[in-house]
Amino acid sequence: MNIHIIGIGHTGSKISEELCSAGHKINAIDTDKKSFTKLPSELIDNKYIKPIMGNGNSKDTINSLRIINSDIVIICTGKDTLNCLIAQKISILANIDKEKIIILIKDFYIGNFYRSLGFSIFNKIDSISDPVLKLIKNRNI
Amino acid sequence: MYIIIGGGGNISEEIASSLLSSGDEVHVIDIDENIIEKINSNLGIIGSVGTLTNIRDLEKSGIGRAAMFIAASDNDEDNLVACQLVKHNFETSETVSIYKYMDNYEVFQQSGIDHPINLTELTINRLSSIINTHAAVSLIELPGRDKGIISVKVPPNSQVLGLTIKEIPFVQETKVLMVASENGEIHDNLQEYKLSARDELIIRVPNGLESEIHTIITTNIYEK
Repeated sequence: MNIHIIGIGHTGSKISEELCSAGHKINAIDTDKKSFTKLPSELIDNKYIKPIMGNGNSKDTINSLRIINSDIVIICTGKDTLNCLIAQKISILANIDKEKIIILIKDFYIGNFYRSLGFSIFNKIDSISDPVLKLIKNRNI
Repeated sequence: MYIIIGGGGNISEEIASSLLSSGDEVHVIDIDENIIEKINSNLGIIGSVGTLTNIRDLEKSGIGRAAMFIAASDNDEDNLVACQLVKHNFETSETVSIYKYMDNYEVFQQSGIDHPINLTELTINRLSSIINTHAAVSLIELPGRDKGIISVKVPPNSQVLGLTIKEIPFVQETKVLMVASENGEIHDNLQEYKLSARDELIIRVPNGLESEIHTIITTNIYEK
């Protein structure tokens, strides 16, 4: 799949690496050139990950990246509200199904609201707490 | 009316001050303690420290009984999400969001927020009215949100010069409310008045037809 990832911090770089290993083609977008140093250089050199310096919240960037051809867009800057704004902008400009736009949202209520709008939401706390709760349940602690 | 303002920058303090003087009850929330301290010392104890996109902080500020929520922080994205959360979770009757960047125009227009206000657009409108352009200036959006009031100046070579209002081929539901000449004279008898160059027309117009009305008034007589 052709995947765009906006925001290459700790989460964005880890997701880029994992999805790349699973065989997907990654376009990694960030305003800060330094953020691409978090990505494995061999994956960039072999063109499995394409680093793109640009503002994912700008109409010009969204149009020039041809996000319209993307199978999935993952938005994971460090700020919930910015992720929400970018998601809505992409949904309007690139006319992509909302469920193909995956947003990192930490706040429970904001996450619930955006899920009700049709976007896909992920939350780092859930990702950690769910396996822990499962572990506790399985061991009957 | 109880009004909550999210974000405590300069604009918020001005809005709060103006609302207080018209007798409204106002509460301001901002994450920055210093800003809240400044507002409380300037306007009385009306501020509390909190995040405008946090449901618990909004609840503490009494959002449940507010008639209006105005998001006026410096961040477009915080204002957007705060208003959407308020609209979704509370029965606050109206949401107003201020935003800076035209790049965010479509998102704010389609966000479900009752009154998105763009600062750049306001500045352009104000500039257009100061500089002697013939652009249509949006003055007011009328209740019901399907009509507004605009102002358009008649250029010196307009096709409507010398015509009465009735003779101008406006679309239905458009109504010229007032004509003011360059010297400030307001014309009482709109039925008979013939338009002159640089007259200013104040027009009630259905939303979306502003540019059509503007074209009718500003088209050059030689382009007809």
